[in-house]
Amino acid sequence: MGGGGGKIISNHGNMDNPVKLVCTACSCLCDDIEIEVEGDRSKRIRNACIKGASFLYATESPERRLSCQIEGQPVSFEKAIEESARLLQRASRKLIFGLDNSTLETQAAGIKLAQAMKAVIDDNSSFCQGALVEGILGGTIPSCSLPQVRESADLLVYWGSNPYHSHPRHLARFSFYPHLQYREGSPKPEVTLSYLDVRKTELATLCEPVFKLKPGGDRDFIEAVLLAIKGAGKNEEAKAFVELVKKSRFCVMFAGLGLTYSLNGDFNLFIEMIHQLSQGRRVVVIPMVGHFNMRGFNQLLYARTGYVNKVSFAGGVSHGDEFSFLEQVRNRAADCLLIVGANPCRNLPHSLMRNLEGVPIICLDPLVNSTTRASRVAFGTAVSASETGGRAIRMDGEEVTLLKIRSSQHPSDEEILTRLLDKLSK
Amino acid sequence: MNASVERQGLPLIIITYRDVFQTASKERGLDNEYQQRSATVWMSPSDLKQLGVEEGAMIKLVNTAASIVVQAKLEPSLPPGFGGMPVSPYAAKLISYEPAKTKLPNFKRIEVVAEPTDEGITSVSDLGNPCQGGGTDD
Repeated sequence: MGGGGGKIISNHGNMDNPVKLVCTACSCLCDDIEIEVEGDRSKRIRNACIKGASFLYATESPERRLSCQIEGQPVSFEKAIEESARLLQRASRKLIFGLDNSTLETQAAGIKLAQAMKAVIDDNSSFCQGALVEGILGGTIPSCSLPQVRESADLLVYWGSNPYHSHPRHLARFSFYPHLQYREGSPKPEVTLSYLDVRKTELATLCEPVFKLKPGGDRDFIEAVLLAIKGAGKNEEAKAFVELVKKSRFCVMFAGLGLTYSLNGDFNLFIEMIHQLSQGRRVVVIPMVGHFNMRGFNQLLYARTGYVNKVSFAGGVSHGDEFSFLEQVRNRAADCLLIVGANPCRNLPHSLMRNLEGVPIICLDPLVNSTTRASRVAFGTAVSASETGGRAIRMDGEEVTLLKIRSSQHPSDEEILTRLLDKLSK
Repeated sequence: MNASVERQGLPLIIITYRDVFQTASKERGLDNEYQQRSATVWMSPSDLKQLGVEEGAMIKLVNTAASIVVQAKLEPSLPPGFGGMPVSPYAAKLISYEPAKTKLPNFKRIEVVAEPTDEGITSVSDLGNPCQGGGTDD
């Protein structure tokens, strides 16, 4: 195992002068995190949610940190680079997956490596929020920044998303509580909060009204909304939803994975609804992106290829579902995988992931996990936004600077990818 | 318990969701709490009644992909026939990916049959690592 966090280099880190950093536990990228330090360990973490604080403490735990390994045995960094280059050189169908928990600089290095190796490259967005991000980047889905939400929105709708669990500080920092206008004598801001979900969630105490959907019923509800906009149909809930949006000046819909999966990744009807509801008011969508820099990966790849994910560089640039990570694994299409900051062996369908048995995996991650355990070569990397600096794109498309506050005995994922590119270019 | 349910079990469609306390227990290395919060199926009062069990009972969830034992929790806002599970290797054992049917894995629509059992909760280590054909999960 590798060591925990390295020496603090930022400042004193005491109670009056805490170390400041950006949290990378989700794509809120909260930039107000303060750490009181004792020695080189965090004594107290201020402002972080339970998700962020737990992640930060985990990165300081020596038993959780990963070192360079081949077949589970510790090796030097150089040996791990040699073996990875050998595996990649002999493979004819290479797949790079992940990069959503990496800086923009690392993502750029990953895309460059994929291009040089004529490899397939994909990330988690191909089975979560990629279609929404692509719609926003392509101009078919209107969106806005989170500061605009706080300053101007008067209706906030969480659709298939429970921020209490996925993005615990979203309401506190970006949407509901920081709203600029408050009613006199009221603890609630001048903004209507609503949600659509299949079950009652913690949001229910703040929301009025609430729309409870049948599981898998989002498409039916959207169709009913489209009818209600025309004054037709008999769905009273849909009529109430249309009235709610029509009363607003600026409505923001925070789209979660509940919506994505209910629509099976097809947002055409949802986009049609957004455009029709936009007559006479501003209606925008912000995807509740999970991984801290998934949107950054999408934007970089889009700028280079015109696609946010599922790209093959074999013979120029190709795009299609056959290049999604899921399809690559299902079809046993890749003969070597390079996985960066992702853990598909844990939460993706086990019946599918069994197809990877016997396929050499090279994995980069700060922490030990199921995928690093299953890898032929594993690199323990420095932690983004504490042991390496860089830039990332928040869920709303705003760029955030990540500061390095600690030294690290671990290489950065950018350094590893750059070394591999150098090796393979020779 | 309803006689036909006793014979055939209760068909249930599982929806997965995020549980921040489960996520935190994982990061903090609290293995028991992580297992407890992951090996859970939330069910409606009428479904628990159909199975003839109360909250806290052991429930076996079976489908073509796997068979696991988890603990039942009461969730009155869920409609009958639907269950809830946190995203975890437990749910991942039951999830399938069949692009001929749906483009995405069925994270939000896992078809299982639920039945009461005297067996204990499936441990995280018994779930194995699909990419290794065994071993222990993180």
